[in-house]
Amino acid sequence: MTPVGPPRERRHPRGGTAWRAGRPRVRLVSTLLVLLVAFAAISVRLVQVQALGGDEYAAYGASQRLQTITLPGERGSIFDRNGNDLAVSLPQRTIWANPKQIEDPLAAASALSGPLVLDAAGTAALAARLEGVTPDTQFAYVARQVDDAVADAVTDLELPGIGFLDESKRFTPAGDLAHSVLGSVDIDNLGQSGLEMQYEDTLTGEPGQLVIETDTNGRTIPGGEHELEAASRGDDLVLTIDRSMQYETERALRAQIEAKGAGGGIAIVSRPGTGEILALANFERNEESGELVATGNNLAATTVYEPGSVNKVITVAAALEEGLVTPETMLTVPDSLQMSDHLFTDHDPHPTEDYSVTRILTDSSNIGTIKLAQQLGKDRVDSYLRRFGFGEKTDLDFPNEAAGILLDPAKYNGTSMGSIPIGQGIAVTAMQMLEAYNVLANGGMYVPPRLVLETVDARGERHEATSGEPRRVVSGITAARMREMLVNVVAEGTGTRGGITGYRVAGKTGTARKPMDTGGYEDEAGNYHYVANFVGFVPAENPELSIIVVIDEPSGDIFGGTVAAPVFADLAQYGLRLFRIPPPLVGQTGPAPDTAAADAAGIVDAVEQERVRATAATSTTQPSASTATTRSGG
Amino acid sequence: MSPVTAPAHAPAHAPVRAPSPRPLPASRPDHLRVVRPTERRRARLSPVTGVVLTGVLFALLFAVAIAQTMLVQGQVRLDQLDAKLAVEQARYQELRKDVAGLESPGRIVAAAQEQAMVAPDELVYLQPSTPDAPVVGEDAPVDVPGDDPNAEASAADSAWSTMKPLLAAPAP
Repeated sequence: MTPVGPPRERRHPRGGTAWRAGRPRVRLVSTLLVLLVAFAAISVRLVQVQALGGDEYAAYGASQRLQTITLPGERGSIFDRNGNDLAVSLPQRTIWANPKQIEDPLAAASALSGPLVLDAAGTAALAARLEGVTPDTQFAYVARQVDDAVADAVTDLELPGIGFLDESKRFTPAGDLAHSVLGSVDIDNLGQSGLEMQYEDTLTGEPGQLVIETDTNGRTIPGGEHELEAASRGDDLVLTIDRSMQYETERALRAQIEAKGAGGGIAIVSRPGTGEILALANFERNEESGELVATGNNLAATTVYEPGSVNKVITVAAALEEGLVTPETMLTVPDSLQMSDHLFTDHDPHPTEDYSVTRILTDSSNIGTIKLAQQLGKDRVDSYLRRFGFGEKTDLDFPNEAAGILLDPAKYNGTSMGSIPIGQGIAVTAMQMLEAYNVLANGGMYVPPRLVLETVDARGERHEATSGEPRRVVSGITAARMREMLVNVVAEGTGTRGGITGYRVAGKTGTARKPMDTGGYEDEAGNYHYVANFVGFVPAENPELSIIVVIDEPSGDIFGGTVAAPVFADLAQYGLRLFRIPPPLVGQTGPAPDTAAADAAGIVDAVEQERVRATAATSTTQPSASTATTRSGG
Repeated sequence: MSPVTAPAHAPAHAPVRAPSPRPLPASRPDHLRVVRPTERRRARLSPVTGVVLTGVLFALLFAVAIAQTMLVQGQVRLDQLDAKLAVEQARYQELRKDVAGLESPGRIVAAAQEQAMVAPDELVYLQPSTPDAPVVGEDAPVDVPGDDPNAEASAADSAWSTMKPLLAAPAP
């Protein structure tokens, strides 16, 4: 049996200081506790990251990988009736800056001033933008919608904090052609005027976006996130305008305005049967520079004027339609007529004599027309003016379109029944007046005008533009009689300068006094100002083209027959060739007016001769002989 | 050597008897049985199988790597095509604008005037005439001294007879 003694001390194996074995249980428990605490901490953090803040961290991670690219919804184009581009949008680059990343705004602005072609003031303004509106500003435009050459030059500068984004910019390839019709957009591509404004919703596209997953180099990660919300392009507009006709209309109108020293002018070419506007030109002089400019304001629809003698067709047509007269009915016509405190006169003095209704129109007799109006009465005069489309907007619904000014018959004064039937004391737009003549060209039917033929959606499908319903204004017989009377006006009346060799032209001249802002028709110096206009259509037996020409305040020669009618003839000749409208077959036409030959031989109509002589003796600002006399006429 | 004899004392413990098999429980399922130790075998891969499996694994991994590479290459190519498409579309739009500008009447008129072309002061209409029908706007025929109208007509007929078959010929 082994003897039991006191326990021996355990020595360190190396013979050093003795050490105690300690209590392993404590160490084990301590280690376990440490591990438990560590595990618990990890668990808590895990829950915090994965469960509580999971979405936030996932989004943070996604923001580093996912890239969202905005796909611009391109604005639709505008075409003429033959598919020629009139307004298109092109992608351009916009230069922007992050002011927080630009250390020296002035130096950066100086560097950018070269490619951007900035002067000292522009450079200073750019430097101010680069400093940022507030210390936290992280975005400022440097230059918007610059072309590629400029953008590339800025890229080459390798300036920190300068970035690029794509924007589309509106271009009109044909320059100012049809500017007043097309209108304009602002730098954000929002329509500001014209069709760009009227069809804003149609033309504007819907932007889309592309979300992709990219690596640190910006390359798409294959099989990664890829969400495409396709952008929707705006619809295209196909106009009724013909580009070539538009150009010629603008050219001819501008040339005549310049030649006559006029203040401006309007010309519209339309196809009566469909109401399609083939060309529409507006010019006015810049008030400061006096330069003639193709205004962005569509004066033909937005401004009104007193039409003068071209309005007589309404009065005559009403009298025919009401059965009061026929073209052959004779009326006794003096050369002046006192109504209330106003003396109305014909343009040319003549003895009291019998005029047929046809001659009243051919010679543009004020007194004869007033006599017809007196037979109608004011209610019927007013009724027919409105039936022909005056006093309300046309179906064009053009932005800022004017309705015109028509007095309520109850408010007619003693001279209203003298002035209104001859086109003074009412105000219409050139578009309304052309449509009134289109009624006669269309056999008595009013066909609403239209500027848009169709829209083409992003899929290429065509949608015909809506248009108002035609309505009857006068009977076909009345319209036919009026057409023949208007042919007579051009053949041997006041409108011979509107004739075209080989075709029968129906038309009417008008020379109206302009109302002044001060009231009345005289300016402060006691002078009258005039508007010369001519409206007609061709070929008279089957009208294919109708044209109105309005010349505002011509100098010297002021008459519609000599100022506006030649422009009508030029445009009609061009249009007949352009649209391949043949002359009528032999046997379907009456004698053609040969104005060129007549002019060459010095055989001008007597009325026209008188006009020419009067023109030479007067000026646009001729003093009025009598403030109480109306002597306007065709 | 002494013979082996039986022990003088009985062993302290009774000899251990071989355990008798426990009676099978009456409810034991029939599909269960006791596995004898000799029946236990260790599943071992033969070296050949291991090599084959390793090869297959390597091939699979290699195929995945190749597929991934091709995928990346395809994506890069796709990105390049997208970028090129955008550039070409922009170029198309730019050219379209340029063409529209070049075709515009104003540009053509200006170019014509640069070449000293002028618009005629007066238009002359050429209208066909027949012997028995007057035509609207027709001017009186002008006799040119020295010219033989019949010879001119004959030349025109000859020219027309030459041209007509060409005009009627189908397009190539």
